[in-house]
Amino acid sequence: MSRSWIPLALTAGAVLLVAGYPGRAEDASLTKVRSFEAKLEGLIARLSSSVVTVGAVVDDEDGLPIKSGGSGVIVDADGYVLTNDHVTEGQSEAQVGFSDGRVVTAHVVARDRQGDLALLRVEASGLVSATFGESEGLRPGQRVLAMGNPFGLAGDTHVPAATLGIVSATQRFIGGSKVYGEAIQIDAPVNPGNSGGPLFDLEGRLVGINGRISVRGASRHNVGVGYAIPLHQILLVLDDLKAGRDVERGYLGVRFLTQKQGEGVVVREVLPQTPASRAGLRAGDRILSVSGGGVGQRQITQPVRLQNALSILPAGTEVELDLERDGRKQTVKVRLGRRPVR
Amino acid sequence: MRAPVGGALVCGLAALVLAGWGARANPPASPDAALARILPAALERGAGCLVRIQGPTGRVRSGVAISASTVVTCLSTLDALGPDELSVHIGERRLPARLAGRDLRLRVVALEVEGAEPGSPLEPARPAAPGRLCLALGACFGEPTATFGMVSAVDRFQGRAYQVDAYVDAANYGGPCLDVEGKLLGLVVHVDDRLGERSGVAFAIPIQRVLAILPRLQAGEVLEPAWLGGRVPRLGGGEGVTLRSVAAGGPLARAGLEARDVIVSLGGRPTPTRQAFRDAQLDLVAGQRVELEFLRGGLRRKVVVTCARKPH
Amino acid sequence: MSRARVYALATVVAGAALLHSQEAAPPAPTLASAVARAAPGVVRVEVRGTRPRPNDRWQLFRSLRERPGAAGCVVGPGEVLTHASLVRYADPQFTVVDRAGERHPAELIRVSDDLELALLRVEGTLAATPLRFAPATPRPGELVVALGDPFLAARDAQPAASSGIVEGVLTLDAPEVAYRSDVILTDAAINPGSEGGALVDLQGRVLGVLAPLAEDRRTGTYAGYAVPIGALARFRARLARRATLGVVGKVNEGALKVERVLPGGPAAGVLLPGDRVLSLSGRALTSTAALRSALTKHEPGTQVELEVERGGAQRRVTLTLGSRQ
Repeated sequence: MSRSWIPLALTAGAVLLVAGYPGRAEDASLTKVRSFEAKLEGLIARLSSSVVTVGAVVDDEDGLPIKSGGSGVIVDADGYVLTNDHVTEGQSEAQVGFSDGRVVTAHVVARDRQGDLALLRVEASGLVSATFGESEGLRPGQRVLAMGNPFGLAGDTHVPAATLGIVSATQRFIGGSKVYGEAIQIDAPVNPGNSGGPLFDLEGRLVGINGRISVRGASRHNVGVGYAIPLHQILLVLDDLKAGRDVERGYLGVRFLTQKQGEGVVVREVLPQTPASRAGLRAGDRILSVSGGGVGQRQITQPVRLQNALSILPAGTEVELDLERDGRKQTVKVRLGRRPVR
Repeated sequence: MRAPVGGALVCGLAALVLAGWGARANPPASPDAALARILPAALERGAGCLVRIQGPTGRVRSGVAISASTVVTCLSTLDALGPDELSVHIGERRLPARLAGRDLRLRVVALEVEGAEPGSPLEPARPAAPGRLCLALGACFGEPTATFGMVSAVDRFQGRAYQVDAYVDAANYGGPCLDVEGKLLGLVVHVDDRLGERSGVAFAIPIQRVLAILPRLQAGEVLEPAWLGGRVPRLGGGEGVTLRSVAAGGPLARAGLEARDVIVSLGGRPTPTRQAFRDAQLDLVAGQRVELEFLRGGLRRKVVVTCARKPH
Repeated sequence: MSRARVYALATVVAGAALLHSQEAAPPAPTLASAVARAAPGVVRVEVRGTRPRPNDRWQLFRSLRERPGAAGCVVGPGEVLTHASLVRYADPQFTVVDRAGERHPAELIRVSDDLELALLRVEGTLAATPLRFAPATPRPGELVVALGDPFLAARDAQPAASSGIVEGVLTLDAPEVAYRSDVILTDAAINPGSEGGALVDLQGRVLGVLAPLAEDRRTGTYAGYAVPIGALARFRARLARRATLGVVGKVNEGALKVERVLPGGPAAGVLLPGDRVLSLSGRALTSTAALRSALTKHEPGTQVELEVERGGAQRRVTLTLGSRQ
């Protein structure tokens, strides 16, 4: 009879092994976290070669080098570097520093001033371009990595710093002389010096360029609210910038209420001698959707969606507006003009 | 044949029970779920080395019990609490603490504590690379608090510190920075007010560096940054760095060096670039004697230089 | 069947059961799934008013540039819980903006300063999903997400999410913190506009209501915290507690006519027999029901503003509400 215990013991042992011992959950969690860390470490090591410092003054003999300047990202191995327009404002050249320590002079190829982008070109070999990702599908809560040179702390080494955070919201609109449309709001710490630097998803693909932050009180540092220009907007202008053509933001020429009043947006006023007036838009038209220019159709569920849609499209884009006029649906084609500079 | 049927029933029941157990013990399939389980445990484990330091007015700051009798904290703790009448809360007890040594390069301060019992041994973490996740602890609220972040860069702050993006403020300065296992990565230090508080840019001295200077701190030494008194140009290099100028009366001048001499090695470390020359000076302390090799007129020479303190 | 085969079969059954349990387990939660589950329960709360609330304890800590309004948590059908600091006016008028951008007028049910909570009722259909409640207080180190509207940047009323951990669960020592028990500290980014929003766990269940940043005396630094959601149950229990003005009177002709002032009561030294009380906290006392409704909005012990007509002239007085026995 003693032998009959052996298969029972073996069975019990096998089942216990599969089921797990009490500490299995925590061990498994630690393994999962360690592999996540290894993924982050690998990503940052790989992506560093595509992230550059722009215009940072190399530090001095002693003390903490807190200098001005910004960051940038290599978008083409031929030597094209993308950064914010405000990082290189008023300059035709900038010093670009690579993570291997090389410092090279770059010249500004073209700008999208209102969109806050500037394209630089460097003469250098062995450049690694960032891989482009997908910015329209970003989900709030999705983890992202911001890389750049906050406070110029990279100093002589030009090695970028990385911060981890999440997408706080998408479709953020910030008006002003530089318009951020369909911007990605993030909570990854972004400080002065990070401007122009890349925002990556956790597969290491470029999804945006960090450019603005909200600040609290008199401080100018991160409080957990940063904004990035989405890649899908950048792709609308990148070819023009590479060809040396400055880009301007699109302009329609209508006034509408920014408070929601039913579906779509009601045109309050069509400004004279504008693309809107030339296309025959009228006050009272209710704009329901915008499409064209290489981006998907945007349903105007709230007025800010129209502000967003118009602000990401460059001047010259032909768009189709689905609207409701006197109870009937119609589609109007408009070629966006140049946004008047304030 | 009752016995096998009975046995099968028992096994079936056991299978159901174990299936339930298995479901609860399911490994998490997302890093976030895994972190949610791991971090509280890491905090609990690593909080063993966290101590609260109190000044004469009752104001508190954080520190790390690095040995049975020594607590380390950062320089800003002394600025906030003063150097005298300090006490340390370890467990339920409040013990007097006496200022011992300081390292002005790393901004680390050691306090000797009387009457402390040996706690659990310190568990240093393996050195970090950017991407490593971490917790910055604080002792100022009476119970341990922690913020979560990632190592952003290494060899920062003149090559000495980890840069981390955890939100850190006066509650954390001087306290431990732990990894996800609760092991000690480093000591959080306050570096510059211009970086702001809770801005996502913070520094931690790697624990290996702190342990390396600990005996000198325990002996009460004050370690100041070494100054050599020579300027080298930013760009260029080759076999060594060329001295652009030498401060009169400075260590290099007193060792006989002159402008246009090419420094080839310092302390046995080759110095082909300004960065390498800087790196070679990192571990030097004011008052230290260090060997220097240089070229003049094609001839290689060796001298011993006595590092000085930086003049005001 | 031989014994060995029985046991082998049992092992297979056990293994299959375990495998099934692993597949049947819900997909592991992530920060993104937490946001997806909880965001439909967080709304924007706007407030307007003409006069500051008497004894508004958060007034001193608000920056001059802070715009009124912030966020709210949907805790039941048509019920929005927010932070008491939003009730900054003597005559507050609330609007709740849901995720579809629709604006709904909302009525204050009650505000409790010492619980730091205010409950609003929304008429009509709110495009929102009530939040689920976390069953227990979280442990320091657990992952959390803060949902609110920092800097009121959301032109489309979509709340913004920020991630972090539970920094600690402890009682704060700060002049602007009224909650005298343990609150949930977090390093998830909290800014003006976040308050009233939700702090949620990885399952998207609400752990607490976000409060404005507070400066703790022990550290001299800002702490982001949330009032634990368990306080809501205490809040609801208090709704039965009714405040009183401490007068005997009758409501007619659009006002409360004071007949007698109870000695030593809340109105002693403030109101006189013959006074006509026209409004309480901005609410016109046109009927007995209106008076009762106005009285429930505030907890006994809080200061309210009354518009009073005495001897033909109108004046404003403040009175500390008493407790109805």
